[in-house]
Amino acid sequence: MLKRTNLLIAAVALIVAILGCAEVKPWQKGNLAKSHMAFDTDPAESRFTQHVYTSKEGSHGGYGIGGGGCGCN
Amino acid sequence: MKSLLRLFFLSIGTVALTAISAFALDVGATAPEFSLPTRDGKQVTLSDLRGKVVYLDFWASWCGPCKRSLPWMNKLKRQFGEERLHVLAVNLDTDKDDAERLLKETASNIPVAFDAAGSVAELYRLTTMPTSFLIDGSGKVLQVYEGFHEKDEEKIESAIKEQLEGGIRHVKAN
Repeated sequence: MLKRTNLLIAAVALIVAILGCAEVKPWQKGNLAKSHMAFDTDPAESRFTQHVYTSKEGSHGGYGIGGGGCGCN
Repeated sequence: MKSLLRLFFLSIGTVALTAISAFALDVGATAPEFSLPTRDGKQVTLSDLRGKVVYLDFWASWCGPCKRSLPWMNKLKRQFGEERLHVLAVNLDTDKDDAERLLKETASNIPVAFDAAGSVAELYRLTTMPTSFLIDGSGKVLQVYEGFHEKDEEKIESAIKEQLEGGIRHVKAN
């Protein structure tokens, strides 16, 4: 009986959690599009920083470009 | 445990089904009817535009490609005239002033309607910004263009031209 109750609680929790997922529609992304919401405010600077970082680390890649960090390309 | 698993997969299935339905309106579908306020305080109703080819564009001031598409839509209006083609740019900004600022910046004189609540965008099931619909004189969706790229301008222009010329042939045949 206890098992069944636990199951029911878990089921209700799951349903509530799923209902809590809200979809942000494409036209509701105005605030996300603001420049101060960007991870990097200056793309050129972040690219440069990344270049310096990968040079120091002796590896590059994993940022949407070819290479998996072996430093061979 | 088994039924919990079953419930879990059922939930996943429901979410997946919701995702599947999240596609823009299909080509060939009837464009949903709407009535929206315009810049000059009037109302624009889609059914009032029957008989005209409608280029319905959904845009917002914060969306980069939308910004680039505005001057081109001005050109569309100049190129094809307003007699048989109606360019309607539906703005989805929550603040109307943002829209007005960009319209001024781009010297736009195309008809603009405001849908701050996004209810018409919801009807047209937009998946990306901007999205445009080419609608024929009978209110059917001819083409759906998601996003905006300068390289597609020519393609869209020829689709409009084809539709307008097709319409002329149709009139002559009668």
